Amino acid sequence: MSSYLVTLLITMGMYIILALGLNIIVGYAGQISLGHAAFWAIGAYSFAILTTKFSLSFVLSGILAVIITVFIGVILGLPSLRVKEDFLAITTIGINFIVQAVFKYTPFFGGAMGIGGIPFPKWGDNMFTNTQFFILTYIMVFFAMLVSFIFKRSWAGLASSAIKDDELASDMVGIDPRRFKILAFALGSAYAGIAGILYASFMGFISPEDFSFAVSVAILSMVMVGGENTIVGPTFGAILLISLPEIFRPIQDYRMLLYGGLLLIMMRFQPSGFFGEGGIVWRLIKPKKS
Amino acid sequence: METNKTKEILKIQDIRVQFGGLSALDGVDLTIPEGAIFGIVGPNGAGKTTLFNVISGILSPTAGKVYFNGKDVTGNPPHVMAKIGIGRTFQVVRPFSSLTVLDNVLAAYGERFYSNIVLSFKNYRKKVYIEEVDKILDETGLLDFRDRVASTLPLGYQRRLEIARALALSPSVILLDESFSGLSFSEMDELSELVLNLNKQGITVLIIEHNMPITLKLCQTISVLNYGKKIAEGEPDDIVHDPLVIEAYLGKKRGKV
Amino acid sequence: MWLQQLINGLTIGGVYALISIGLTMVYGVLKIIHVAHAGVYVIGAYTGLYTYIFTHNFFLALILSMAVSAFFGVLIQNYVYFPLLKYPPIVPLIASIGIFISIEEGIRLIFGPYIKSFPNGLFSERYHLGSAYLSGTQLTVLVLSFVFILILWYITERTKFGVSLKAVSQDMEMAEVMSINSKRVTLITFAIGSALAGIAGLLVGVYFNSVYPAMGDMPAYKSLAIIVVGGMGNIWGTFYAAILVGLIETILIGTLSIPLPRDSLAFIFMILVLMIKPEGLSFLFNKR
Repeated sequence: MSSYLVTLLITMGMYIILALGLNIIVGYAGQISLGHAAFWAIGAYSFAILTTKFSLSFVLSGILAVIITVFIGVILGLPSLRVKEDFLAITTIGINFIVQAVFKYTPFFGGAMGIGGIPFPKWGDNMFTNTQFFILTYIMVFFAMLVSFIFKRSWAGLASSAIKDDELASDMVGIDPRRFKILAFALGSAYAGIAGILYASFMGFISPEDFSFAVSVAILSMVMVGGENTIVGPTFGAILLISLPEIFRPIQDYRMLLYGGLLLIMMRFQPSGFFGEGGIVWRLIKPKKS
Repeated sequence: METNKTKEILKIQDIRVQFGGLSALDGVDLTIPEGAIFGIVGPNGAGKTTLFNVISGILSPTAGKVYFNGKDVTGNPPHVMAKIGIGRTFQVVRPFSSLTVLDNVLAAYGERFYSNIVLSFKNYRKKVYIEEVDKILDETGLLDFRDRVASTLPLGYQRRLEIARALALSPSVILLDESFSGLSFSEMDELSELVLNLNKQGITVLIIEHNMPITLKLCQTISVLNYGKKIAEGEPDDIVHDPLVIEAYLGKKRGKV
Repeated sequence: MWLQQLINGLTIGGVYALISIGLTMVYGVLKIIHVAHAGVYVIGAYTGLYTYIFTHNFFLALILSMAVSAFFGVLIQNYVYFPLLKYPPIVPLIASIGIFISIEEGIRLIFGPYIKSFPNGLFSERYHLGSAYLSGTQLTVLVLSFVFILILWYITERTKFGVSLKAVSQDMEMAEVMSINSKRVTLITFAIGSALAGIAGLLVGVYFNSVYPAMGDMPAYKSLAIIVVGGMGNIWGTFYAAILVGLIETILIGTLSIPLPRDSLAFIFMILVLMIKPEGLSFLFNKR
């Protein structure tokens, strides 16, 4: 494989993990989050700090980074217990800006310059090749899908769907909504943490600008355009939105316009996305529903 | 079930609920014996649903106590009330609209797993659980609809679905908030039969109802609320002849003219 | 020094108020987070800029930027938001973000990515006020912002439309029962709110003497924080929140030179308010 293609596929893999993680929060538990890039940033920065400043090994740093991300993710998910829907959407936007600002204005995190020299994983004594990194990424993608699958068919998944449909009624049948909302944020953050490790390690260099609000919008768009509350939807959404700019490289100047237009047109005419409930793809496969 | 031992399962003591300056409940006392079918009636705005909201934990009372099986459960959140065995339905139905009938009831059946993080991650569509839930669906006449998405059911069946969901909690008390409203006569008969059946199994039933004939037929004891206060309580025959009750209802009619 | 900061803070706050009030009015009637409102603001800035370049008539620029912005606002509400009302709020929200990106990109493709400025000599006078001074542009921005807010006050508090607007914001179905045409009220609300955003765009363009496609980015998100602080849908809560944010930004960073990220301040303020009073500043106005 060419190095361009490998890089593209690795990027795609990271976004699949991010989108699947956000789907647990948005699609399964029905909590709007427009700050997912903040969780991604926390994973990436934790990993970068642990490897460069504390010289911990790749694996140990990785495990700690996920734990830190989940921990902070749970704290940042706490507003979901207090505010709903529109307020939550705006609060999570705020979280994105604030987390980004913390990384940007704290010298410990490298300030606006970011952090460099983040190590690549090793295989024995040798550095990973890009192909090996690609395999590592897709092993993680596989696990992300597996956990999503297990979650969706578990009691916790059922409880989350119930909360999404009607929070009060779910409370009335013995579901503690707070517990499962926090669980969704914890799982979503774990995914973001893993994607953060992959990103920091693969790029070798991270800066606050990598985790802007626009990135959060892109991740949420992958979930919604692909079709929330499914596994194939966010995966497809990530593949689509990552490959579109590459496909449209010849008309690079129009890329963002196409992106904006795609969001608008999908939401206006196909709000459940390509693979969501009653989505366009299902209708094409089996045109008549009995 | 023989009710010679008149143990009280639910005791409500001097409950007060205030919204801003308005008093929705103004010192209500109720004692519900185990195994009873207990009716709560009263004109609109009398505070009946507010009372249910207090018992089921949706509202914390401004003052007063709720005892369940002798234990103080005042102000517990709904999922705790559900866990100790209080199930309820809503006046305006609230099914989990995107889930199937089966999943709706399973969601309530899962109450026994939710507090354990390991069990929470187990597959919920196992045969054992489904068989248990199928029994409940059969009893409530929903078995033919078990794979239908809840939002597509007619109102009568959505009301049954709420009862089925409450039953999946293995409750000792269920609160029916106007479950008969909007039903046809035959549906009402079927639902009455279901209520009597549940009561035979030992479940205490609390009913809020506007339909007097049904209330009088089903309930052993009826409490009448008006303006947040209990104005009468007794057997159906006494209630219909109580001058205060007549005034409360007729007074309302006079107000309309 | 303090007087200067106060004037600067009020000027910025006044512009924040213009854009946020439109946003909060829209939220009030449709319960939609109208991110594309900042796109309308950019449209207003460009309309004003080009009108002024061609005519050298500032009054005409103002009128046209209001009219064009109102037109786009109504377009968005009629063809995108109205059909999406039945879906969960995340659907119109993403659609709105899509519109916002499309507007900014469309403008960039048509007018180019570079910063454009007004032809020289627009309000170049200076006025002294004790130790502080006011530039002509600043005075214009300050005066016009508050004039338009005053007009808005009259419309919402003293006219029949104002009453209808409040009814629809409270409960659309009830308003319909009271034979208020909620669709018309919504359209007028969008027209007024978008016109205000257009003025804000033009005034910011004049104030900083720069108009560029991405100028809506920060206002888009900052105004969201402001309307939360003001209590979503509450016009006067939003007004005070906007002034407060303008002052806090100017004073904390300008005077005390605390090294805080200016553009995150509004969100930090918002989260503090949410922790203390989830309903925002609106509690100040609901008691009446």
